Amino acid sequence: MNADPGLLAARAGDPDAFGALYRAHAGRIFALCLRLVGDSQRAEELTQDVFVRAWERLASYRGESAFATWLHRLAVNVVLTDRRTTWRRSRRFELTDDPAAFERGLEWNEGNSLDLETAIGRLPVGARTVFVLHDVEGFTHDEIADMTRIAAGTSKAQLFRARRLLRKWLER
Amino acid sequence: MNCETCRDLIDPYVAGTLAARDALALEAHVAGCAECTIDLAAAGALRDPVRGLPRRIDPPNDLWPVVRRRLVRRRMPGWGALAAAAVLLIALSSVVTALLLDRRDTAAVPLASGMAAVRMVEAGYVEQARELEAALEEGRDRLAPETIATVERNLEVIAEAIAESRAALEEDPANRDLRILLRTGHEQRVALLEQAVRLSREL
Repeated sequence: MNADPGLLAARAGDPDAFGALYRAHAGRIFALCLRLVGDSQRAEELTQDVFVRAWERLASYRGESAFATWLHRLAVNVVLTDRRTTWRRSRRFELTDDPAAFERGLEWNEGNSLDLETAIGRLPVGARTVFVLHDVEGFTHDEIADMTRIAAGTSKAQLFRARRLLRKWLER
Repeated sequence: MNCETCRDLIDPYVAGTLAARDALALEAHVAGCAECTIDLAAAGALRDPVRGLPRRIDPPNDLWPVVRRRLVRRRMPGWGALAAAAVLLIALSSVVTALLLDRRDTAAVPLASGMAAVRMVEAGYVEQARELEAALEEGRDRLAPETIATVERNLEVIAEAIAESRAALEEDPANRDLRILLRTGHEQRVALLEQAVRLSREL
């Protein structure tokens, strides 16, 4: 178990100690949520959810990995679970095994030029998820497959499609 | 080398960590493969820009005060939460009332998109709750009558809090505090049902 006294105090139920952890990690968690959902207000809500969930589960954190790693994985799960729950009825969530589905949902003017951050936000949701998790956050395809419930091969296909789209948009 | 193998090696090639023999094989394949040429170029073009992305982006608003309030409400391990839920939700209703008198942060979100987003979030919770209610119904006979009564009494209180939050949001869809209260109400409902279902299965 990590011997960080702040972490130990938070784990023992001290909300002020947990506040220090929040201050240290909120920026990275918000960045992750923002890139995954592409909406600042929703990313704020999910960031709150991540830290509430972390507080509830802190007792189960055994220190096998760095706290930041544990928190990041928790954040990914919170975002993906929320997406499945929220979009189940509207069927808008398309982390799919069908590579042709990448193109659906592109809703912007192809003549525009974009910076990378904006371009990531314009990716179809499945391609964006894999790109953010693999290229930005450093998860492996097997880890992504496990978290998103798609095949590792689909994750690879999504990644290369995302890169092609990004390169095309950024070179305009 | 085929395209699948080539794709697996593109990242280490771009990073400069691929063994020389594999790098030569990749280059030989790419020289005759238009698709892999495109993928290699895309990986190379994006590598530095992605590495340059900021690791941290501070939220536009300070979220800690809201998170802190939710911690106090949610830190209730075990079955004791059931007994505490009514007290909590009465407090929640009071906060809703206070917020109704002090509507803040109402400028940013257009009315239609605001309520559409709220309904989308609510739909997920409603479906979760429906599934849990069905599961609870199956295990209902295993719970003591006073436990069932406690659960139902608390669900009524939660339903009132949710209805009150939703009504306030209809009036003021961009109010962030009301959105949070509505979500918290749904979370409480789902958490209570989850605990009840878990208990019915443990007995």
